[in-house]
Amino acid sequence: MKRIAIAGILASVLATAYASAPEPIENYDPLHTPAPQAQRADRGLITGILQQGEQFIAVGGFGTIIEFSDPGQWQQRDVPTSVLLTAINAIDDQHIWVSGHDGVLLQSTDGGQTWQMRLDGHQLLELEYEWLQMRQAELEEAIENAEDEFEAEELEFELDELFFHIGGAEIQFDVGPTKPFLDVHFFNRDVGLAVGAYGTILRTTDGGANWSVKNGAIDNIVGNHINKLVEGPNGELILVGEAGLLARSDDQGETFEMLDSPYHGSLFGALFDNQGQLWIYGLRGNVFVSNDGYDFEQVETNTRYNLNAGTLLNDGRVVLAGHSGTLLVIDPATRALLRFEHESSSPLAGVRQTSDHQLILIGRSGLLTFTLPAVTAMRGN
Amino acid sequence: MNESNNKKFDLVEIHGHSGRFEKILFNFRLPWLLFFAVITAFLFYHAAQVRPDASLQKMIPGNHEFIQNFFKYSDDLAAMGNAVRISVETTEGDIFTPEYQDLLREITDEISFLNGVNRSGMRSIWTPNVRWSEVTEEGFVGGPVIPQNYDGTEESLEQLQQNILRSGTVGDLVANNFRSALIYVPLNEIDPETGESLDYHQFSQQLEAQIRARYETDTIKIQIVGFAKVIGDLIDGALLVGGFFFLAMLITFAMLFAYSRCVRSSVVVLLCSGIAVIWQLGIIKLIGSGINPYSMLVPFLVFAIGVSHGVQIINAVIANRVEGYDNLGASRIAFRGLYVAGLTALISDAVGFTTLMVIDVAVIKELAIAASIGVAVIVLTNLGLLPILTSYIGVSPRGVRYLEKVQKQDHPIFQLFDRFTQPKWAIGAVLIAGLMATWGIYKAQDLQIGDLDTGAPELRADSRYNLDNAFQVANYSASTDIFVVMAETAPGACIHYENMALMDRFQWHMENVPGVQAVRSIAYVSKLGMAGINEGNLKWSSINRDNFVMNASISQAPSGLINGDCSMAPVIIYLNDHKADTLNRVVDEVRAFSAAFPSDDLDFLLAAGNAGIEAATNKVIEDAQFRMLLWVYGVVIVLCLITFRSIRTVLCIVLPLMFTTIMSQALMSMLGIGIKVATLPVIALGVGIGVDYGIYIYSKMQEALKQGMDLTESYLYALSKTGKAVGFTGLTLAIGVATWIWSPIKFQADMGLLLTFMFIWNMLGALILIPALARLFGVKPKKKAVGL
Repeated sequence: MKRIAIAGILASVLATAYASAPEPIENYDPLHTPAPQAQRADRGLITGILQQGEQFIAVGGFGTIIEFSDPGQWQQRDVPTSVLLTAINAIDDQHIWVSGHDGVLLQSTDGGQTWQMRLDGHQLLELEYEWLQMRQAELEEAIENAEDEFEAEELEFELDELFFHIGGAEIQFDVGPTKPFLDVHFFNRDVGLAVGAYGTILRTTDGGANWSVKNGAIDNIVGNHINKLVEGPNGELILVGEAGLLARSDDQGETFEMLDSPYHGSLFGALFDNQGQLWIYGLRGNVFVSNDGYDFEQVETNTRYNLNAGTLLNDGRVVLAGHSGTLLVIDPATRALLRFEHESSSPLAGVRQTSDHQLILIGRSGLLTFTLPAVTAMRGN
Repeated sequence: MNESNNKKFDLVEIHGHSGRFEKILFNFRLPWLLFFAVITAFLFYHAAQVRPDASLQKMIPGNHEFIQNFFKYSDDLAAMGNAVRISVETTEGDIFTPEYQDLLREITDEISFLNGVNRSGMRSIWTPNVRWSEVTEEGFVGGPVIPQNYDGTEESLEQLQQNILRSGTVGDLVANNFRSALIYVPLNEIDPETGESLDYHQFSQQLEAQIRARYETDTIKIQIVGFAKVIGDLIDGALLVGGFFFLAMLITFAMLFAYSRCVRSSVVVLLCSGIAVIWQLGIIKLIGSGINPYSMLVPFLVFAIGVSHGVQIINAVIANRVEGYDNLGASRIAFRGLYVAGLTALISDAVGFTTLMVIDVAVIKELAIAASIGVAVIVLTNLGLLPILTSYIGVSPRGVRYLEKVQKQDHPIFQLFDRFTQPKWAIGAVLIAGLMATWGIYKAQDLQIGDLDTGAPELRADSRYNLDNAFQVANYSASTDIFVVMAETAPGACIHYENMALMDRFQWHMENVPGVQAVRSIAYVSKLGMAGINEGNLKWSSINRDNFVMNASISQAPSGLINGDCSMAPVIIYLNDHKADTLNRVVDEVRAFSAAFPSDDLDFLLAAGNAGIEAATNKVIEDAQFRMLLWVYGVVIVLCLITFRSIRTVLCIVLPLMFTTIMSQALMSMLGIGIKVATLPVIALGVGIGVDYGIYIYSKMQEALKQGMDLTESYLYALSKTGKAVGFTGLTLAIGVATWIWSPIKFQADMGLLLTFMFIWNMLGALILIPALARLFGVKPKKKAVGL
């Protein structure tokens, strides 16, 4: 009996020993190499954060996905890729999507416990190439049927641009997937969008089983990057991007309406406050706010640092996070503004509130915390 | 008087089986004197040209794999490593005052005129290559950190402050607290104009004289950190320690005089030992070897060993004079009686030194060679020249009278030591030693390999250099413990995507190793650059597969992160400390990563940087440690076996030595001194020289035992014959090295402390434990010998 027990212990020890010695990985490619379990996963680059009640999930470099309620005690999840992840979006507390570099889209259907790769850059390349060829056929047909020379010239110009993209795509087949998704947004379990570099827009209506390329749905022939998708209180979708790119969709991303952008520099984010006002922000401390989504008014911020992300505080104020540890807290009604800087001076990529005065910040230095000074002690600008 | 002297001399000729050596020496005394004079003059001329040098290459194990890799790329890595960082601190207010900025500009200019400075690579906020840049709607904009129209007004200072903030130089060229700014000064190892290699000592002195002495005031402090400064300070320290030599000579002279009460013979002993040192230094210079801060120990040891042997001869000469021989006769008999014993002892010293050759570090090999030469020289000067000199000069009557008086006394200390031949005392002594050894072994478990102190471990923790270093570490974002892994690939392939991706993964792997503060590499810069060319967007901070994009991402990369033909990219790992544990962990993790991600194209070569070199040194020391102990004890045991042909005797002599070795290791662990290049040789030296005491004492004791005396009588006889000499030798050796305890060079102080401890402890161990062990092992008089 004893002997059997010892044999059992031995066997299990051996099994663990074998299990813990991973197979060597030759010709390393981050796309399909599982994310490394890291002791300091919270200290690397973190780019996206999801808040669900008291629980947080943060994503970042080397396929890092960590889950926590207390930033000091996080747990890293197994992820099938090591690319830089860029954004996280939840439909409900079970269904979560994550976007990443190399055309990666990850999905969890168990609240972030396990992750599956639903799309990679090779598939994205195929999809885009098919779409480009389809567009080429469409354009060529349209040029033939052009009603006047002026229209034909316009179309020829567009075709030239398209050939440029087709050439690029053909090179990509050799180089490998180079395009990152920069954001992902799902309206429900079925309908969602993933957007990113060079104007990539993918849309699914069957929960990610099939994707269609929607790059042409916005006026973005030069291929500016799309940085952020935000769903408004009435289901409207706001899309912002490079060089002031600003568009709106009222049919869950099927079609878009280009908006008059108040700014020609890049926009990194957007958010709706409790009054339904739309805030957009980006390069060099530029912040604009609009009541109706059409007319924007600039907010004086007294900072030149890029503003990369934002959220609403519990009291309804807007907080924006940016480069050099910059934090702006803005009262949406009075536009009264407080400016803080995190001691790390590190560029920030996101901000969430954990309690009245406690913020969680993410960015180049990983997870950070920040205590908002009590109202009386606030240092305003 | 004359008559009787002649008679005595005849007796010498008749009774002495005067050997060949003695005839050769004493029949040609004048030619020999002339010979010694000429050689000494010749070697003095060369010895006078010996200068301490402190070359990094010699202090590291040149044949170790890590160092070979480092040498392969040392040119590529030099640009990165060989620089001094000079910080200018104001103790009043901050750096944004016109006075401070004027001063900083002046110092920056002043430094750029120093010989050896690579002007174009210099960086400070006052050099034009330090710029700010930022992303605007139109792309990058930027300019020099110093505003174009800087005029010292409040406005331009404010502009300067803004430029500094957006230049990313805070923590790099400007202290985090804005109370000091830093000038980064890369050095040219070889002067591009003259082709001469940089004289570190001279450069360091220039910094002291032209920068520190000139600009430091009550409110302005200057801190200088860098390899060149360490070397400069090491040489300064070494020169100071050279001065200790005269201190050691003075103390030794005082002791000699106290011992002999004879000025003449004291001077002769000092003279001969000094000549031994001159010869040793001269020969070293002639064979093209130098003297380094480690082998500087050798003149001290040679001098002390010379004195201890000289004392024996002087002692014998005086004793012979007491018996009525004339100067020549006394000297001849002294030589005859001592040259075999002296030669044997010196040979055992030399063999002890040669075991140091198992440590594959050039400075230690130089030390071993220098010490062997020194011991060989002592044979000539103190066994040859010394008796010739005494045969002419003789000893003073006062010395003779003093010895006559002393010989009649029965020394109370001898009585005390003699008690250890009694069973109770013997058991007590061995029991206490056993307990101490057990405690020592327990303590020695904590003994660490390598250096444990922060900063430049060569220098003391409270040295100016290490204070400066601590200041810069505290105020700037930089670690001084740098471990470099060289990512090696085919020429031109260093920034291929596959290699960059692997380097990136490697960097992350290392960033997760405990003890690692930060890692920098071309992959890291490429990721920063990717965000940079995408308007600072962090979500782009990833290695890109597209070659054109990759090239764009590293277009602003600082120099030194890839080599000239793009076949090597250093991965620079900043560590918390350079403790052996930390270094081992880093080495293990680098190897683990290479095993987990095998690549045909990219190898992660260990290791450069001060921490990488230290890792290699530690490995060599660790490997050499047991081999060296094995060798030195093996040699000592064999020597003792040959001399005494008794295992019991060997145990009596060797066990006290082992006790000393254990206790010195416990001492090291208590004082936080690691086993390193400086301290490992000390153990061999301690054992090699320490065994002399045992040999002297035991051989005299055996002499008495053979005459049928019991153990107690025999030991008292041995003490009366050699006790004083042993005590004197122990003290002379200890004093010679004890002066080192005050060396500004930390490792010299460690060596001095440990050697002093070992010399004294060995002496006490021999005096107490040899009789005690002999009693316990049942050593008995040989009755039969009486008849013979």
